[in-house]
Amino acid sequence: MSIDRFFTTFFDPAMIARYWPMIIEGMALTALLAVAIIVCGGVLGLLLACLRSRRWPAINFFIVLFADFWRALPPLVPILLLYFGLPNAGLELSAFTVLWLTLSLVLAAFVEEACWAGIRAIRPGQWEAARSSGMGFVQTLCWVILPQALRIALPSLTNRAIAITKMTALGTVIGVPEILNQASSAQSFSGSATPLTLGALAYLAIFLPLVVLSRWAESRLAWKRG
Amino acid sequence: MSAANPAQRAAASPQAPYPILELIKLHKRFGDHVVLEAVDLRIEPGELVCVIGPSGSGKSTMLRLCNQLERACGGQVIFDGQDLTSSLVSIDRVRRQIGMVFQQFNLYPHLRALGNVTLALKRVAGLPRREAQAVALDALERVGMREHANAWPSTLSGGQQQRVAIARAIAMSPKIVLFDEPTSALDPTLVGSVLAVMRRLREEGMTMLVVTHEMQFARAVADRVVFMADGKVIEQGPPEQLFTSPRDPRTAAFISGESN
Repeated sequence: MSIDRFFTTFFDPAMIARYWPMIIEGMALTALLAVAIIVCGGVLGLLLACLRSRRWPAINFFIVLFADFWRALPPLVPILLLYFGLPNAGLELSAFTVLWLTLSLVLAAFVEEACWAGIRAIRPGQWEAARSSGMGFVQTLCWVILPQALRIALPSLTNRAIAITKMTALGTVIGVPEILNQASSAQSFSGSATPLTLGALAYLAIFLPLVVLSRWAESRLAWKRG
Repeated sequence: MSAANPAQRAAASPQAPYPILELIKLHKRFGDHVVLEAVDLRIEPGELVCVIGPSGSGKSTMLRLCNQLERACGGQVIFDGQDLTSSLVSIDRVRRQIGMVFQQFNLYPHLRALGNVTLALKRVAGLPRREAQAVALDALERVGMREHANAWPSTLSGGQQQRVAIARAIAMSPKIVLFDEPTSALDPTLVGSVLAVMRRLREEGMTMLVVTHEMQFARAVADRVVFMADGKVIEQGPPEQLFTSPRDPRTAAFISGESN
């Protein structure tokens, strides 16, 4: 394989010129999905972890069930199930909604576990000090426990957020026009692998800054502990 | 209806002196293990009461029942005329008037010394930021920690951390401060600075209930010493009497053991 063949396969200028707008459209959608999933999954997961710290046995049973269910299931399975199954039951969700909903729930499950691990790592003395000063449960959680627990949970939170938003590529299977879908459509129209190269670069453009940002946040938020 | 009704007495004559804190027939078990058995104790305003006794005698549990960090299995905790064991009492409102200082300090590691003191002032007492800071700096001054207001807890020595914790408790102007073995986690060289702060608080008229192993402190500073063993108050009295002529042989044995 000559160097020329390699370049015309993966970096064909004509193909780049023709298909980059499609890839940009895909990027916009992937970025939108990523933000929507991180916000919804993050908030839901955090709320569940806070609720779990109240230690109501009946509610915690369902929280654990929820977290284990979504952590155990490969995300592609519920994506296919919801997209192809629900219409038969009379409920039609758009491909975008199915992808967003599924990945938000998966992220929420992991966020709940990470935050709960963080909350549990805080010594009971912190709860006691805050509660004995007259702070209520929610105040103690907000001002004393979560600021410490979230710092502990931060590495696993950012890792999960990145890992799960990357799974938006699964949208290809149900026709969500995100990066991979756009790139592989362009690849089948043109017979050239160059659009896939563009797709790869588009993923890097979105997720590399996220990875760098999370590394920065982790070092920034690490505070001195006694 | 006899002495068990300070609430009624208080309602009848709010100015009349009555104990700020009274424990009545307090019982506590963890599972089958009886920790406290019919404990009675009265703390008058302005008193410094030291509780001594062997480990496992229930002293710390008794202290934690005073602000309901533990729930009693029976009996009453009357604070300022209110029965804290009643489900009608808003415990958060009561706790802001009861300071607590812990063996392990329990400072908030994500906040500086000043932030540790201002947190409850802002969130519980509802003071605006500047006012909370002024009150907090004053409290830090009283424990000799004002110049460390911007320090992170982890950069402070144990004795300094405990003094910040005391500032955190007194900044809320509590009616009583509970001390749970405040010097037991400290290097011997640092104990003195914390005890000196407690002595000063006592001179300022702060009501204090102190669970401690510091016999010399109890003897020199306390108004009254309570000796507990096996979940019961064995005897109590002025320190000189209790230390020099204890009535109960268990008290005598404990005191001679501790002073060796």
